[in-house]
Amino acid sequence: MKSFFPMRRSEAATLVFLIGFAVFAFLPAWRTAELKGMAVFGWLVAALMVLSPALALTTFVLDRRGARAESDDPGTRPD
Amino acid sequence: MLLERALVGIYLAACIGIGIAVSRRVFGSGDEYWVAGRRIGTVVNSMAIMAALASGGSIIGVMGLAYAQGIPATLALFGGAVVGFPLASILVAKPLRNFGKFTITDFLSFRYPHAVVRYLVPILIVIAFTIYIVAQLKAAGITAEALLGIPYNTALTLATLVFITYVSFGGMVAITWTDVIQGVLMVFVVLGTALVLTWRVGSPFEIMDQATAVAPELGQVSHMPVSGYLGYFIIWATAIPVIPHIVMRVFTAKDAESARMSLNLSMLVYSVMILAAVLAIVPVGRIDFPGLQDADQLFLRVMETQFPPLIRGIAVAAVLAAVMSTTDALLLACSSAIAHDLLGNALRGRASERTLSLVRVGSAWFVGIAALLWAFNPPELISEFYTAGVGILSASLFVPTIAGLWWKRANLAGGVGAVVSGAVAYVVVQVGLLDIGLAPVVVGLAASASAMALGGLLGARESPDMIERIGALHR
Repeated sequence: MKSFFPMRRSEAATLVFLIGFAVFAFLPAWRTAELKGMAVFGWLVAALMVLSPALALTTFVLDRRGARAESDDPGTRPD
Repeated sequence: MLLERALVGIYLAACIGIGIAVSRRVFGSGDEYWVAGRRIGTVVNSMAIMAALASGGSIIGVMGLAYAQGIPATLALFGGAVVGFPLASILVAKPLRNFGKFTITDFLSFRYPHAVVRYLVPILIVIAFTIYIVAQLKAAGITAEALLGIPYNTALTLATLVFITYVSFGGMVAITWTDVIQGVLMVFVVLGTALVLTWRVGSPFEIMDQATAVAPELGQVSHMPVSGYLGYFIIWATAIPVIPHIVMRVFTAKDAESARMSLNLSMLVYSVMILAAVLAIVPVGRIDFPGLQDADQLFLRVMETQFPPLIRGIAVAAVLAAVMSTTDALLLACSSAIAHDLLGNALRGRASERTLSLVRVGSAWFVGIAALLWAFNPPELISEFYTAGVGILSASLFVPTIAGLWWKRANLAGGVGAVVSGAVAYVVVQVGLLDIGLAPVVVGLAASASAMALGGLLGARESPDMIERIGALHR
């Protein structure tokens, strides 16, 4: 018996990306490097704030479309 | 001052009106009272979630913090909460919505049926949220005193009585609709101000260039040790998936998909609002008011100098809306911990629906009045105090909730151990009994995860029936 309940691959990938991005943003190098007067760390967290909900929304919408297309496909319908 | 007071008066009267209007529908049903009948649509729920998260700190506090400690530090604090929502939408929204109860305690007591979980979890929620409510009340009192000229204690009492009235009689339905109004007001005021200022100066990048030329510290990372940034980020990122006033919003959604969509839509709006405040309003304010003694006055000073009285009046209402939209959700979650989690189980089957309704209303008044009395003499450094309160919920509830939903080996021993060890470890480090150079929430989460792993791997396996029931929540 597998130890975990299954998660959709797209959702697992989103989760890994978000955690990876957060770790990347907190790397020490970004605290001293600057862009347009602000530490790159600040820009990365700002990007994370917009990216994280946008990415999760995109994942859910694409998954839902995929599920609908699958249920509409005559080949996958039960007879 | 008269126009500002009139606008705020109209706004407060509208909140009470909504509470009274929905009270007849809500009063006799726990489902209507706690989760608005589970039929709130995606867009309305999004705005209500955004307003529930965006407290006074998200308007006044965010700008003051950015002014005093720089923009990167501020974004680290607020970014944690934003990242918490996609985590919540992936990890907890669907199974918890499918679970179909009212509170996070309902799920944890079902997954780990033990008296420690049944009583300790709501007690932790009541403690943490009462602190949180006191912080919000203090913000409301200070704002009304500064902008409307009303004495602190009078403003505090008035605001508290207004939101206890509409929460206690209108429940989640009243909160949802008042939160929608409050959310729209907040977004309108912050985005409108940012757009006007940006239009006057040129572009956000030009504003940043000009501001950091005169105040380079605005864009630097230098005000806090790294563990401080990381600790706040982790507290909020792990709190959101389990924090009761957000979890209750998952239960109000019409279905699991709507719950997931609304969590993320709300954060898109919230992020845009926070970034507009921090990247447009703060730099302009930093140029115009270089030596502010009280950084929290920044937004109010910008409004005073840049806009006419009518807009200033709307801005005051927006700040009060931000405070009240969070406080009402906290009050309902806190009273649910008493009326539903603690007393509900004892009374169910033995008390009439009318008695249960009176217990619900009484709990809201009890918590609200207790918080009001404390807020007359609030502790110093209140924002750190309430973040510490939220931290104990993260440390004690995150691991057992996520493991309970996703790990088949999670069992009673692991669950009880995770709740208790997370809370104890957090408190021990937070009060300074142990200092190992790590943020308290990191230690608490590690202790909680260790207890869960040990209990799960060494304890008795969970019954096939429980595994089947949890598996059904994911379908």
